[in-house]
Amino acid sequence: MRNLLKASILCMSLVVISGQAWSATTSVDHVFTANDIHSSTFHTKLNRDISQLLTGGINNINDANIVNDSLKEADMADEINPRIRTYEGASCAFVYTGLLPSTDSDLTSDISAGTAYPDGYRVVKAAATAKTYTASKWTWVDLDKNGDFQYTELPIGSGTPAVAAYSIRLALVSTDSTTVNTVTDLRTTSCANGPFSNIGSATGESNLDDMLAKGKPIRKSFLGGQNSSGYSQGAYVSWSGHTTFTVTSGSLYINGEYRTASTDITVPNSADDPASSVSGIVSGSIAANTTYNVYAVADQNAVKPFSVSFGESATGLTNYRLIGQIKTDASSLFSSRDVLIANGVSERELVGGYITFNGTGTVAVLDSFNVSGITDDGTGLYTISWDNDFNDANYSLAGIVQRASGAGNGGYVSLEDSTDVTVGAIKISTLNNDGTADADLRRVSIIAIGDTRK
Amino acid sequence: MRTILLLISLILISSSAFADYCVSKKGDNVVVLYPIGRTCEEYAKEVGLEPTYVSSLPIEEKQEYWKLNGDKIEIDTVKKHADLDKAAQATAEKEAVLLKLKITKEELNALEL
Repeated sequence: MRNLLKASILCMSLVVISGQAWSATTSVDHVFTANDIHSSTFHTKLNRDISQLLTGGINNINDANIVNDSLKEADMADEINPRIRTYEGASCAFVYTGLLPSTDSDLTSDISAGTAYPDGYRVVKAAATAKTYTASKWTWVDLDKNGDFQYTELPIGSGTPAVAAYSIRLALVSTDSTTVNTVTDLRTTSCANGPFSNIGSATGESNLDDMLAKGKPIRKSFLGGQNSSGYSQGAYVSWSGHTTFTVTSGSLYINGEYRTASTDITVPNSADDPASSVSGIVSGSIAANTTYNVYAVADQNAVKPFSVSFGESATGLTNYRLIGQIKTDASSLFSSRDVLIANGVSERELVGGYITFNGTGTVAVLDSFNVSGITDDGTGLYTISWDNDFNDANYSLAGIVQRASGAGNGGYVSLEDSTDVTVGAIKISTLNNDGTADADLRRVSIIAIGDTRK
Repeated sequence: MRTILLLISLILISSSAFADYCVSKKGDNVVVLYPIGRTCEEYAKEVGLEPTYVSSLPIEEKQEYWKLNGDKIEIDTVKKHADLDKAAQATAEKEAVLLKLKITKEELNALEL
């Protein structure tokens, strides 16, 4: 009777356990046969059936029995469940969809649902996540490989903090005393946009910020000084009129800020307002016969373009870099001459065109730049045509000639008439040293420098 | 024979088409166009001239005596002789003056007048 009771209790326990743990259809009926009070193979059958129960249960496990997000990609990664899903375009740490905080009329707002690959781990946030931010702070929002949002709060105006460990940066959230008023999207949404992500991959080497922040201007000797001004591309000062000038489109590192002007900026001679990205003179009215420094300014927060201010000093500017100089004439008008660019060389400073040719017999052009052709007009007479015309006919010319070897006494190259220089061509004559008649010479070189700005 | 003639024709045509210069009439003169980085037609059009391809240039003669006749450059003998006569006359006049002055050409040059 005691044995029967023990067997019954064991049997009931097994039924209860199996019913709770696994919903799969399993049975222990064959462990015992009817009226079988004791089986000599009881332990063998019991071990076998428990093994079957466990195997059957695991093989029939249903994801409904697993609480959402209780298992993370970091717990699951293996060859069957790769962390990097290249078919979704993942080849770097990036945000595939969503995961952007929103602004709100109070201090609580949602971070949208989405998918990301922080540190190479696939993280899916199936639902939006509410977050209450601290008033009057900048909060950087990161997402780590376990799917947990990481928040870094700093005073407004602080420098950018490092991304949290094993995380990807999502946004900068700015609050005032009562609302979430600004969200700056800092997500990397495409690996194609991150070719520089490899920079700094080696410990101790320069990172992208180092490389962008440490560049020096071309004219370090007298514009821009000896200090690093950082990366620059474009943003050239260019004369465009008497009461305005232009700074061409470009990208600049400006005292820790990264700014891009996608179109040319027309700078008037009226007052600037750098906090509102208004370009103009830094103080006072424009004066005659004055050399003005031209500054690219990044004093308005959370905007992509830079503004331009000019003045004899950088009065009232905080984040700025010197990009050039422009002068006014006696009438306080901007002069087309002597515009200097700190981070580049203007076309006016470069050779507009040159040619070297042998003028004896059949003309042989030895080298040229910006020359579309040369016309042999007669003995010692040539027309040189420029490929891209100069902007005016006031460009400078220089030339040198060489007579045939051993002929001695050299020769001349000259313009014969005031109309021999046009925007598109020059007519020259070459002469032997006696100057009595035009002559074909063995080597003739001409250089032209002037206004070729396009 | 016909094959050889055809071959020669092809060679002549190709040498004209791909020559690195062409000529054109400009007023009374013949000028030579040397294009750079473009065809002679393109360069001629750019400078407002009509290109003509010639197989060679008579560089032994002064360009001022060249005369374009179809696709051939001929020498304007009338102009050349007129120039030569003019030069000879000038030399004769000069020698006559020297004779009157009773000095040689070298003595005249030494005066550096």
